[in-house]
Amino acid sequence: MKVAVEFPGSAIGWAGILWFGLLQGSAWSQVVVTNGLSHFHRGPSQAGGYIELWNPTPERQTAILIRDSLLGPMNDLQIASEVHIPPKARVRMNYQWLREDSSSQGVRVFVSTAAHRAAAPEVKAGQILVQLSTRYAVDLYRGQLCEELDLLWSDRGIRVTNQSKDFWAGSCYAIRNGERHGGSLASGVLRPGDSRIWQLPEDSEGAWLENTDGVVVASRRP
Amino acid sequence: MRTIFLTSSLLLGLSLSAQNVDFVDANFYIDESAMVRAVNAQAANLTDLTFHIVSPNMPGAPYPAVTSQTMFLQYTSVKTAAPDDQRQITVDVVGGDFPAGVSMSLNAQSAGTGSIGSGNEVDLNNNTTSGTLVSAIGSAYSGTGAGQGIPITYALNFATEALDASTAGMVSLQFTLSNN
Repeated sequence: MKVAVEFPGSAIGWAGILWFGLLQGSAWSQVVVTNGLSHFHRGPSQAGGYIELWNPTPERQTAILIRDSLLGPMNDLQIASEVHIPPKARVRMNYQWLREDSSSQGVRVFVSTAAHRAAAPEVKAGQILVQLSTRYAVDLYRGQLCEELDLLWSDRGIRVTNQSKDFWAGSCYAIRNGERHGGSLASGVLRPGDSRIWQLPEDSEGAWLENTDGVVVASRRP
Repeated sequence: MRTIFLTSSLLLGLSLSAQNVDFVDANFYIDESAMVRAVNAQAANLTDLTFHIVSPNMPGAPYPAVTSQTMFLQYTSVKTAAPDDQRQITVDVVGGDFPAGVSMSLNAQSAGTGSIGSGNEVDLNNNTTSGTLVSAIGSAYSGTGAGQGIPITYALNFATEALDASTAGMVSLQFTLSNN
């Protein structure tokens, strides 16, 4: 949201005191996402799903949903852009993938709560207004999972690249005594062509990358 | 005889119980929660936070540094299986511009109970408009009281000779809780 503000007063007036004001709006993100921030749908057989939102407040809230592209056109996903949620109620925002082909698709849905402002904040001469808000990002993916990754060690860690046309989803672990060790150090979804560097403890023997199907790609530290 | 009677009653009771009570499945549903809010040091929702860049008292002196200020991000996060097993909090400039010669650094220190991740410092200006404040949050919560939450310390950075008081505007910052 771009907001253009004109400030009255001359440059001479500004020279005395330059105010840098942060005026924050209601930063309490009332609406809550309760069924996860990443949904994966495998192939054309799973044509949709839902984002569950909860309004824990005693007041009616309006949730705003804005799409952004993660991979491919965001218009390939159909979901409502606004919903009114009664107090203490949960709603399911159904979404549907519109294209039936098997290509990999990804859409991010930003969920925020509509601000209830009695009036636009007053901007005084010499002030700069910075509004603050919070939101959630729910990542929706549709496609197939790949098993292969390209791994390249560097000083900063291991560079993981997905060169396939499918997604890779999983976690990175350290290797110790030749086996997977400890909790995941990093995780996420790698879109086709994505590349990330994941850091590992210096005393680890290598990297253990396990996708959500349990398929492992491992590499020993050179 | 009395003992025999009691035993018979007990056996009868067990028998009736076995006939009338079915196995019951216990279904547990755990929300994969994602909640965040911004508060001040007293744990009240923030309404404003003001910085002043004030001219010096002595001619010839540069503008004095501005005292940094701290707010808190209170959060609750319950993760699920990979890839949604780690969350992050990012900050974006979603509107407006910084005045010429002014940038802002936001320093986040991870805090809370559980897998609280790690905090970072983000420098925002008219060229760099986003950054990751906290990464690798798992299942964790910050608490709701005063001084609880992820402290975010704002500091203004400027050089007097780079300031231009005729440039000003509105800046909108947005914190996003997302999958890593």
